[in-house]
Amino acid sequence: MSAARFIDASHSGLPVDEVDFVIVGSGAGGGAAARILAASGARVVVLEEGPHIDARTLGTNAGASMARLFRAGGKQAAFGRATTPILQGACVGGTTFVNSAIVWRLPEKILHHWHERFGLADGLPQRALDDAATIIEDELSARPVVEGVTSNRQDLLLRTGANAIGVEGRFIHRYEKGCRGSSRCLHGCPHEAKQSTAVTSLRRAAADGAHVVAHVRVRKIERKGGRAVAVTGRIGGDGPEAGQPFRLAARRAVIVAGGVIQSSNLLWRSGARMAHLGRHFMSHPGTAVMGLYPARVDAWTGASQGYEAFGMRDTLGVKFESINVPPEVTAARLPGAGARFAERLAELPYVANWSVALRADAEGSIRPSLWFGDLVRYDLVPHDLERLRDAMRTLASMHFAAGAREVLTGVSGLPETLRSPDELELFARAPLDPRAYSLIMTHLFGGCRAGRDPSTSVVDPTLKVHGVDGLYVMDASVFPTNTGVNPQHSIMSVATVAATRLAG
Amino acid sequence: MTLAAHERRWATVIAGALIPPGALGGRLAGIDVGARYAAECARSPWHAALLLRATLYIAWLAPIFLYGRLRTFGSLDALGQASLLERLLAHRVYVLRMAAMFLKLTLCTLVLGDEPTLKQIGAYRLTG
Ligand SMILES: Cc1cc2nc3c(=O)[nH]c(=O)nc-3n(C[C@H](O)[C@H](O)[C@H](O)COP(=O)(O)OP(=O)(O)OC[C@H]3O[C@@H](n4cnc5c(N)ncnc54)[C@H](O)[C@@H]3O)c2cc1C
Repeated sequence: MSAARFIDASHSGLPVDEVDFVIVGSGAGGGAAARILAASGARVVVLEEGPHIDARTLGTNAGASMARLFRAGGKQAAFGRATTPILQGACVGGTTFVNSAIVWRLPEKILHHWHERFGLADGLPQRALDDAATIIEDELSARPVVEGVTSNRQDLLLRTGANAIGVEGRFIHRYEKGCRGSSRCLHGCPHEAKQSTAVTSLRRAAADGAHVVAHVRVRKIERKGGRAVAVTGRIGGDGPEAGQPFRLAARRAVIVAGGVIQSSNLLWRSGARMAHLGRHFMSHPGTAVMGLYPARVDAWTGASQGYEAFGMRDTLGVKFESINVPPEVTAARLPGAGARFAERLAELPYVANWSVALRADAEGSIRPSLWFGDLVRYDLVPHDLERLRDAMRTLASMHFAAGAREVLTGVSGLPETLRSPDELELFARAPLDPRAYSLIMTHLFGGCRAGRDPSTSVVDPTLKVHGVDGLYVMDASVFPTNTGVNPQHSIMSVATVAATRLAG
Repeated sequence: MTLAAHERRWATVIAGALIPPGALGGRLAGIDVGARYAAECARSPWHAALLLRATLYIAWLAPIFLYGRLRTFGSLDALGQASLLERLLAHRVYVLRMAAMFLKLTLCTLVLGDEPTLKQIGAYRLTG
């Protein structure tokens, strides 16, 4: 019954031309908003630019998954002194379909800062966010990785390393139901065990009457007399309706949840010109430090991410996680070419991959671009680079403490590998230059930041766009700062609170 | 963006130099890297496709600006090709290093992700 409400516009066009709420984007924010608004009895349509994926068609090939599930085939980047790849999902479920489903509540300290500095206490009260988080944890089955069941050896090694130097950690809490440890979260879960919005919130919304329509790209929001009244755009995909223009009217509101980058650019293309639109782009840039162990690690068994060491979150602003980067991608980080590289390839089963996510102070900007579609500018500040360097050194020391025989630094200007803890001091020589590091960004924030003051923010504390009625933004772009923790749960909680208020 | 025949050939030669076909129990022999590289360009946004293409030219013409010799990548022997790639990967000029890393990542993704290869590596508990 609800399956019939998941529609591919490329084949059947749009099912309606007017509803109460139009939601643009089906990821963390859009999924959570749809769930609440549909449950209130309102007529809801979720429009998603990407395809609706049948889990049975998901494979193990990273390149194919990137091309099919990620924005721009995984080839998006931010430009500054260094070019930093950005990953975002672009399919039904948004980035929740391709992420590791790690659950963290919004830290109280961060929320307190948002209340004090941005005046969000009325819009996002602690109590309402806590209640929302509890419901989401239940509906998306938040639970920890279980040692010996969904953990793998690199998780246990990270625990050993973290314990050895006294960094607090735990098995990762994830949204999952019946995880079989295929280690393929980033390819989309083949068993629908990962509880992305595609298999949770959106299905519930569909059961309550919402339509979830794939292959629809919203280009503009139409306004009439200071009110958002409709969205327009084109149908994508490769069915008979592909390329057709559409218009969908919204009686009560348009909710933009296209994700950081797309949401602010959609507002921009729709004529919004607030001074802070597209500004305050923030992130948790990350990189991996790889350890080579004497015994097999087989990072590709168990949960894609199983253990996290978060004890340096409040001091250095970093969080460490074990991660199964697909082997063909890990391979590219192994040193050498030719025969030397071939020898290294044989060592893939012995690699443990640990990542650091940095709560960076840097702020960047987002704008639509004639040439690139979306243009993101971003540069780490020196303080970020110092902390990144310290964090990488710490990870390297944890690898040695856990028994690694070699650590692959991945930093240009340092030796490719370190073979003993005595060499850790070399990290002090790592350049404070972003071009020396292989960073990637997966946690994105800002562009439409929330705040009470319309001259310094884009949406008000209820997430309504300043000065426009019936237009809301409910995704990570409203976050006034980054959070220092994995953001999906916070995004869903914030969207749930805002949508509940809107539902009335 | 479509790749010319010579660009496909370059992709195949460079991939062979990066990952010798005998690696991983010979699973890589017979893969038409040129065709895969062309498909990757075709499905990428134009700016990424342009970069993919540029990386081929950088690697192919690298002997000229790295060694000051009027030679191409294809004219080097296997050892020379591998050491040239290593020099590019470690180059102090960021653009060259980044281009080489992007090329390496692309080739690894195109060549090492097939099921038989992943099985050979031992990944994902793939059986059979
Ligand atoms: C590889 C990876 C792993 C991650 N792991 C974790 C994790 O373990 N835990 C965690 O908390 N976070 C994780 N994250 C981050 C988290 O998934 C995102 O922060 C979160 O999903 C963002 O939610 P969102 O609603 O802002 O946008 P998204 O979830 O990205 O959803 C936006 C959706 O809107 C669609 N869209 C955009 N523009 C339009 C348009 N104009 N018309 C129609 N549709 C449009 C997009 O295609 C997309 O599907 C990860 C991210 C990545 C890339």
